[in-house]
Amino acid sequence: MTLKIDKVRKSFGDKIAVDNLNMVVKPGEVMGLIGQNGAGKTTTFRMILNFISADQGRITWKDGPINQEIKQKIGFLPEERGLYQKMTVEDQILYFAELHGMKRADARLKLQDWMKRLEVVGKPKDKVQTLSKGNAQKIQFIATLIHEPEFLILDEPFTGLDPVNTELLRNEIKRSRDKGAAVIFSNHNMSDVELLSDHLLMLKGGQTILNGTVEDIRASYGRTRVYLESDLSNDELSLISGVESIEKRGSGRSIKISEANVGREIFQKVAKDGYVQAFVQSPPSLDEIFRMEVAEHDQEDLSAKSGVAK
Amino acid sequence: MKNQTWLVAKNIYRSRIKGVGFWALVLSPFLLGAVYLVIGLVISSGANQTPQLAVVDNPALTQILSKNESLKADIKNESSLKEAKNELSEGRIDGFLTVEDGAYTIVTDNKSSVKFDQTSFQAALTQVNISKTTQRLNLSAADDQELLSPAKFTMKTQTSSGQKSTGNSQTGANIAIGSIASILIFTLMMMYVGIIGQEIGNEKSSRIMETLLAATSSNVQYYGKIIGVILLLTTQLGIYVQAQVQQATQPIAFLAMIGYIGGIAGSTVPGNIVLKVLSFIPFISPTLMTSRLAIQYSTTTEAWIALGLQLLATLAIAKAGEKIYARNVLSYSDEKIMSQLFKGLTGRQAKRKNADKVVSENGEKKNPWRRNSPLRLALVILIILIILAYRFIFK
Repeated sequence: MTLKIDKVRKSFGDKIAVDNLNMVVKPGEVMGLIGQNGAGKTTTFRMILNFISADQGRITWKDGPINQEIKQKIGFLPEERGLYQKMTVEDQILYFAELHGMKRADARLKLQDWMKRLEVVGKPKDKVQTLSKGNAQKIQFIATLIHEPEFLILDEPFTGLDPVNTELLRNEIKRSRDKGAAVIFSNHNMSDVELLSDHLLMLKGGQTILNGTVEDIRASYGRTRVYLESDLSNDELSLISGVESIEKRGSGRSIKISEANVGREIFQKVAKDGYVQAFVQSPPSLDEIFRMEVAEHDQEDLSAKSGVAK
Repeated sequence: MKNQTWLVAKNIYRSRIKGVGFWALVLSPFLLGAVYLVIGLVISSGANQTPQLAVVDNPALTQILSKNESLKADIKNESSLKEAKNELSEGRIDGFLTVEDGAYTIVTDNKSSVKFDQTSFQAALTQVNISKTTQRLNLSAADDQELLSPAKFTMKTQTSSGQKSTGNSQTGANIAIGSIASILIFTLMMMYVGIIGQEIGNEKSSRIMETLLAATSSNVQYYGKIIGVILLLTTQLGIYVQAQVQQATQPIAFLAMIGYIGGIAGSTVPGNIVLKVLSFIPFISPTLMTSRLAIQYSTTTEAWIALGLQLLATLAIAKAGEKIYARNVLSYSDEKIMSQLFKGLTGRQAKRKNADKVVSENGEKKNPWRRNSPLRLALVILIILIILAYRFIFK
């Protein structure tokens, strides 16, 4: 019971949307798909759902094609949100639930529970057009999950939500994962991805530039970040070889070092009196990795282009 | 996934039947009829009163005219012109009649809401003149009668089915039925095409299609919508039939429209060759053939042929539409709909092979229609049309 994407390629005219994409999502696992706008995330989702077909490669679920029967077991939240504005919340949810093979009566019962859990302001008999944007988004989220899908595809699920509501939705996704669903979602916000994903895959211009578990990816960059709260001055810190940059962050400073060993030297210096307020040595955050990778590939693209020019 | 198609149909049905729009649609002919009726009543309310006419100083004429039942007026004698003028200005009579050197004049005023029927007065007074003349010529009562009786005259039409329909009432009724049916079919067709359009537009504008297509397929959506709308149509017709059974004497709307319809039907020439050919053309035939059949200008066989052609064309269009729907449902092509329809009908899709697969079900499902492609269907229809054209134009 696994989603497998195998060497998939898709182009629109001259533009390659996705190239040599490989991915495996197992039950009870969350795959985070990150990348800038136009990186190929939505195209990937559309290929999984068979809205568009891949030019090359194969996408399978439990080793078979994703046919209509399997599509009924998928919960999909598209990036472009949409509901029937003039229908009531209940009619709408029940209709979607029915299309996914659920009984109306069951769905009606569950809806009450879901609305309570997601703290939706409004009643099942309210028309969708009377709801606020955030509440409408929650309704669509319920429509996506109410039939307890085996496979969840969420395109930017947290866009436009405040941190409290983001947390509510994140918990529901985790709940679904814990029940055994395979989850794939895309997001711009790296901290959301980090909080939710077991695996992540980063796309840039259709190319996969990172693929692995969050821990592995971060670890591959080494513990090259030190967060420090200490009286030691920037000048003194700069004297240590291997210190690349020092930035103020919150009430402390973030120090970028060339390799993990440099951290030991910094620690020895700041703790020579036997006390330091804060010292944390860790790999770069996903956010940082994302920006580093984007910058690096932009650089490569640029030099490749200038190379052609020469 | 037949079940899903049914769910889509049910959803459309349910949401429409709950809406005000559908019921406005169903009741509109009745409301329209009621409005016509009310306006008619208001306009004719005055006319139904019997006008009062005074004949100035001519008791003999008064007696003759008041015996004439075709004159819808109360007639009395008034001794003098002055008196009559007085009565009129005080509103006690609606007009007075004077005779001077054999010339008759009715004087009315503009206060009165009732009108004298000029034609019937003309006829009655002519009759009075003729009577006077026959008396002068010493003709017998029988001669008098013969002079006054109109010529016997009827109109008959020879129909293509060989029967002779006796003009007036029969043909008139048929024309009315044919025209009503045509207008009804046409109106319903437009209404429901509109509803299908709205349904699709609604989903495109509310960006709900991706959610729906994730659970279903474009074919399920497409045929579900069509079935849903057919259910609505059936409901509407059912309501009309019910209404007629219960109040068979009260198809107000249709009565109100008969004059209008009669005008349309009467002004066309049902035997015209162009109309004959047009009545076989799909999407024109439902209205034209219906009325031609009703006035017996075409045979039942011809009507069946037209119906058959219509069904074939409907299937072809539905099939071509299915592809256009699948292609366009998630946008993204700027290609003109008409050229897509043409391609759909002729099966010219090689270039867009990939787009064709959009949203269609994966796996082994092979459509039996695919081999029996729309191209062939269109060809068959074309051939039939040519044969028909030959049969009716060049024969």
